[in-house]
Amino acid sequence: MKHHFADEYSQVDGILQKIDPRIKIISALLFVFLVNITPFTKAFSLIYYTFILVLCSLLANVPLLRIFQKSLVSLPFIIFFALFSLFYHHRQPWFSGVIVIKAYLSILAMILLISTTSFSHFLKALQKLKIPVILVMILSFMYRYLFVITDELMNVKTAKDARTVGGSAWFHTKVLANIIGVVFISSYERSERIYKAMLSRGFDGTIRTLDDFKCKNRDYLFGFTALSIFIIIKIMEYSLQ
Amino acid sequence: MSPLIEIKDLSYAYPDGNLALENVSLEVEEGDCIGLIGPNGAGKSTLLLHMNGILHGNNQILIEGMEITPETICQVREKVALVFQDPEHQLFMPSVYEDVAFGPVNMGWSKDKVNWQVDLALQEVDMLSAKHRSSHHLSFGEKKRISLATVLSMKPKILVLDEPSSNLDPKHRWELIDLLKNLNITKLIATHDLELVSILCNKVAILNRGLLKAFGPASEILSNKDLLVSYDLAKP
Repeated sequence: MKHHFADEYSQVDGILQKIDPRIKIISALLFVFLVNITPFTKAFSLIYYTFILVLCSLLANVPLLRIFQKSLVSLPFIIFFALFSLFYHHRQPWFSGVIVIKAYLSILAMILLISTTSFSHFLKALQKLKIPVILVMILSFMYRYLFVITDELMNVKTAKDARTVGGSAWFHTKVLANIIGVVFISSYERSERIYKAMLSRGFDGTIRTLDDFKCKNRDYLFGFTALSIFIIIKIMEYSLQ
Repeated sequence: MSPLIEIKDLSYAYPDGNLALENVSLEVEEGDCIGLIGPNGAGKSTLLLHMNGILHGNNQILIEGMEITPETICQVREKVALVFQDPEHQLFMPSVYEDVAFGPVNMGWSKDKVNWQVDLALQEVDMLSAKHRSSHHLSFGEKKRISLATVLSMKPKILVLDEPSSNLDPKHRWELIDLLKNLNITKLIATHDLELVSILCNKVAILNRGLLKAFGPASEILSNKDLLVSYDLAKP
């Protein structure tokens, strides 16, 4: 089965792909933080952040359209929160619009980060940035087996479809629930077997890794440039009334 | 000289009470390649899981004269490498490199030694070019090869393989047989593939319903058609 992997542009020849993942993660998180603390009255500065994202996707040789396509899945959630905030704050719809833009820019930045970083490097960078190892391992297993379990689900569904003749919508819903149950149990059993495979290769509950990241001059330059741009945007934000 | 593996009256029952192994005794000498054959549910995989202490029967297994206990388990797992039937269970790390390095890293080797052994193991299975790829990007045949590399990198003395040729197309199956043939290491192979056994193994053990029914030279056992038929291993 063909899957679209999260890091599909990590092997593309682009400037962003060559940057140390730790610097990229910190820069992206800083970007998200700054976007989200932008006051509603200074919402015009979100244009600058949009411009940064466009520039980064050009530097990474990632088609902008693909980033937008990937981000569509998050749009319903963003709109839901925006609508919720509309009732909560008793504010004008314009404020909810700004929330949508802020959330959307944050998601685009994260998609760009994940798309241009090999997932194994991303995980290793998280670990180097002192994210708890157990969380990193959970992310690692989730990413590794997401596709396997999706395949399994689709295979069981295909087997069900091959034997399906007629039946009401309610009947199919019930069968689908059974399929999900079966896949859940087989996933649980799979996790037992994976644990056995880990034990057989000397795993004793301690997670050990080989860390081999080393920042080069270009990484420092990227980090410095990103920081400078963010500072300039903030200065412009407060100097322009 | 004591045998490399000595199994003495091993019995094991699963928590549901199903007796999977009953008084199994077997000796494996250094350099042996033993084919473990038997119908489905015979207890082959259960026996393999005992080899490096994943399952504990009545603790009647000695590896190089060493009993498998919580104190010796790390040493045992350095000596006995287990390759599971489904490579999806064996390959759980985000990249091939990390999967092959998983065992050596757990053994506490230095970074240089780990890198050296990873390269060596990947070269042995002719998959060095896939070092930085993700496991889920590989074909099934490639995953099988990488599975083998994940344990070869630990420099084991004994290789235990569960159904190594299952689900492989003929080309990849022959490639795997050639690969195993060229590995100069003691092997214990549980399989239904009698052709693979006849090519690789010098001894054969037949398991049926948890009991060891026959053990001897491969040529003798594989040529005894009545014996194979009686355990559903050949067409009557």
